[in-house]
Amino acid sequence: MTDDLGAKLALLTDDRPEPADPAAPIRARIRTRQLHRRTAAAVCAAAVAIAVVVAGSVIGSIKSAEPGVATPGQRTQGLNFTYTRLPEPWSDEPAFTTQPDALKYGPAFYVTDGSIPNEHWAVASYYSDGCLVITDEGPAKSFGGAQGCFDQNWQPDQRSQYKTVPAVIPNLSSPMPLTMVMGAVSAEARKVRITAGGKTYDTDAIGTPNSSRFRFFAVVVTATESQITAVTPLDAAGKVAPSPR
Amino acid sequence: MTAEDDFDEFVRARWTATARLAYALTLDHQKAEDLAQDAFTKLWFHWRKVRDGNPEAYLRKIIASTFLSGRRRRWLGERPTETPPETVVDPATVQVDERLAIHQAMARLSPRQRAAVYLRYAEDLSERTVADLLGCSVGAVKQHTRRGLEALRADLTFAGPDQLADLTERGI
Repeated sequence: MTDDLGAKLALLTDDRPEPADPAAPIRARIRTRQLHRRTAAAVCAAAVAIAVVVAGSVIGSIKSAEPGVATPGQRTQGLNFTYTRLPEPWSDEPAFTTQPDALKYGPAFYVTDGSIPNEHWAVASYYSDGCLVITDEGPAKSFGGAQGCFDQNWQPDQRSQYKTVPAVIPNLSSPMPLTMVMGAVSAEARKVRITAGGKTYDTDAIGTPNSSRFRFFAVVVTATESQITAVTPLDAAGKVAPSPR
Repeated sequence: MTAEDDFDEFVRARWTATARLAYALTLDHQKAEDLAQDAFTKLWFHWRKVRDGNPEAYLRKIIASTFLSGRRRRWLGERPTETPPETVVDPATVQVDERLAIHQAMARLSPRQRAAVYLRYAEDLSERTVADLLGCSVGAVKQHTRRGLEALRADLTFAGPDQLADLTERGI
């Protein structure tokens, strides 16, 4: 026996087989582990994606089960729906509506949206060919889910047809005269200029799949209905757009 | 030199010492090789971070923690007994195989005692360093070392007069 404990322990580990190149098997292990890591990461990503899809479908099914809410499938079911895309501004984003008997609005497409105190609103076009409905509102329903159709009774020189809906905002300390102006103009229009209460409001004239004859607009002005003095469609050159053909 | 070349050079330079440490802990050639390769593999994934520091210390830490956590995860079938189940080496025999004797003696220690004794007396590391490697306090290292050496002393094949003198000189 050797005299020293350290020497004894060294003796313990002396007789071992030595690989020719110890780095080679380690390099192989590293590659295997990297492959496992990548596989695990891919599996995790796939699991997350599946979870998101499942959660989305569950939420979607819950949402579609709510009364008065249409789903895209419901809206387009049984409709042979073809349309011609108009130049920008254009929206073909399918819209949902919480209005009663929601199915009758399908297919619907968002025109625009905005906010007023305590509420967010959105307006969608529906039907072929020329109706608008206020689809999404907060719990106060300040615009009352108003709707209007603009596809009939156009006069020869009439350049716009619109509807005004005053907002009813509860629990507001000082009353605000807010009015929704929504309507239709010709397909040649690109913007709509509204004069109300001494101010001028410009908003886009939006084409949707619901009509190739009309473009739609909606904007909330800070004015009463009686203060709205002009609704003028403007074409791409900024000139007054013609009447719908 | 790329990081891979650099790492491979480090593996070749440190393989022998690492395999010795792994064998001292596992007391099995195959397990030792597996532990050493596993430790180097784990080191690679931190190589860019530690290559300019003290990769040897980090490697030792991986070896110790992998060995001890592996022991915690599963029972490996080793059961310390007061008397060896079979006597491979007869101390009275003149031709004593010292390697087998120390192997048997170390096998009777607990994993932490074995690690503490080897790191202190074969690798000549300080108690503080061993405590860091084993993830315990200096006091615990002292205790593991003392108990480990007591167990070694109790082994007739190990505790000859020379060894006792050696331990006494070390103040153990």
